[in-house]
Amino acid sequence: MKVKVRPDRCIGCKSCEIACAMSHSSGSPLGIAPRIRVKHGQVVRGQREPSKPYVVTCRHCAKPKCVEACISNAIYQDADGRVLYDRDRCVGCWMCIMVCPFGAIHRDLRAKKVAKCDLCDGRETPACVQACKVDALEIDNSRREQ
Amino acid sequence: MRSFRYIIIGNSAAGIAAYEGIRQKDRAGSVAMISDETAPIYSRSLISYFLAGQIDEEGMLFRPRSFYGREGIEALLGRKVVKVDPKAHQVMLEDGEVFGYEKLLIGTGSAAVHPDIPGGGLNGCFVFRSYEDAKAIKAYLPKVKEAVVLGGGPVGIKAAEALSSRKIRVTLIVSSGNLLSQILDGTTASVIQKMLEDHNVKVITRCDVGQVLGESSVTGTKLADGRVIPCQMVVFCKGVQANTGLAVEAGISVRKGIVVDDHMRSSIPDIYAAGDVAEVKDILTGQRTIHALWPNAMQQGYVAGMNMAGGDRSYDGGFGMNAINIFGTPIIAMGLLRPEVRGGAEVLTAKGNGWYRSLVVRDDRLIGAFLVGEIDSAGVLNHMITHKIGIHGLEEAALRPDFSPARLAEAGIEIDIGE
Repeated sequence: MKVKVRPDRCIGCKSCEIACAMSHSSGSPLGIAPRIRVKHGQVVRGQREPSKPYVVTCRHCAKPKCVEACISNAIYQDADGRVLYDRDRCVGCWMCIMVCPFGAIHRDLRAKKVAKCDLCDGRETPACVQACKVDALEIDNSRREQ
Repeated sequence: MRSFRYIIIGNSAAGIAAYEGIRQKDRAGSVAMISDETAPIYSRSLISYFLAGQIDEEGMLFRPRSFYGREGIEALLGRKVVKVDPKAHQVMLEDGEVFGYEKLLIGTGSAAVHPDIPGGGLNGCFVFRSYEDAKAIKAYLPKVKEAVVLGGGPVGIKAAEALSSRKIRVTLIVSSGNLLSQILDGTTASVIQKMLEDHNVKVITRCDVGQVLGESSVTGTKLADGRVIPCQMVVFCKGVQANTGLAVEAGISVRKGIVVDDHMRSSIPDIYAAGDVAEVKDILTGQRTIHALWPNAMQQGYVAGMNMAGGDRSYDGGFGMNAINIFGTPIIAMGLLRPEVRGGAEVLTAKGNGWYRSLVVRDDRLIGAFLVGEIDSAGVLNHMITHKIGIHGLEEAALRPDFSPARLAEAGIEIDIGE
């Protein structure tokens, strides 16, 4: 299972970011780093307008590099192919950030641990998918070979 | 004599990944893991976190204690293989017991070099490589107010940081002209040196310890230039040497490490090698080398395991990379950064409030990246290095901390990981 992005549909409204932050905090989303992020290409000042929005989020790779790189066995792949992590085991070594080709793992600066998409573990539909008003995010349940 | 379909010598990253690779192909074949270390699978890379007191014994475990039993692995821990007999397909242990194998993985890793200097064997002298080393150092800490760490590589820096976080005054002695001299040039390394010095770690470069002083326990060190530094502990972090003894004696081809092909096969049939003991291709230099890195060992072990169980996977090679924290500041170094190895490549640098970044570009390809402070896009740069993605037109963006795959997408470059 993973969240599949339909880039052609995304309008860059960032509803997914807010929903993600809300879903991963007990109260206010302020200061909680969202694990899904809407990025733009050209943002250098003085240059042309920001380009099309681009959603950066975990792809739950079939053979995840972050799992290979994790020295504390915090990031793991479960039987359903979801790439999850055990926050308590994370030591903040950032090896996973060094190897994720999608730039989809972030530092939670307050906890000094990583934050990544956990598919809203325990929720039927991830918050970002639910929040997306233009159906740019959808659930992909296809299985891939390791 | 007992026999196993697979014997794995070594109980760290390469060994565990090999086991997992084997099980992708062969659900039932018997597996034995043999290690001279007594601890269950732990993460070697975490010893500095353990020494710093950031994690406990449970945190050190790389798999739950129940792992071997649950998986049906015969775990022979605290037992040393002393001989491999390729013809008979047997390994012999120190206690004389012999086991047969069909396929063998040598994942014996490497051992810390303990320099032979006067006083180097006094109480209070340690190497910093294994869980046992970390425990011994930790147990000795109550006797220590000042420590000298020898070696300016990642291990020396991590040891210095861990000791310093335990309120010990640390002097870091570096033989070469700068820290991380195997990885960085002097200018870049000075960024790191300053960070250590800002946290009261004294760094002395271009110097060696000539003698460790003391009667039975360490009381100080005498540097090659005659200076004396009082200390109660000396930690040698002077590099590692691949544990190739078994392989050499078995007639397996060995240079710096065990020579393997892209299927992680050694020169002798049915014997594979992976991890810090194996010599693999460096995709940036084209040369064979040892990448003593956890993720590389995991990849190699997995490939070896798959192939041991009849698969046909290749390992394409890797390159040097490392992530370290220095007193809370994240640092990532990847690829070719030293002038000696980067050749006539162009070096681009940028810095801002709390971050620094340099990129090495050769023939329109990124071959090295060094990131301090802001590291979120490190993996994207890593991907560009690995897959030799053209960087033309993206240089300025890639130097910025907010670089993201969005910039690649805009340039029409898709991140393809072959899935």
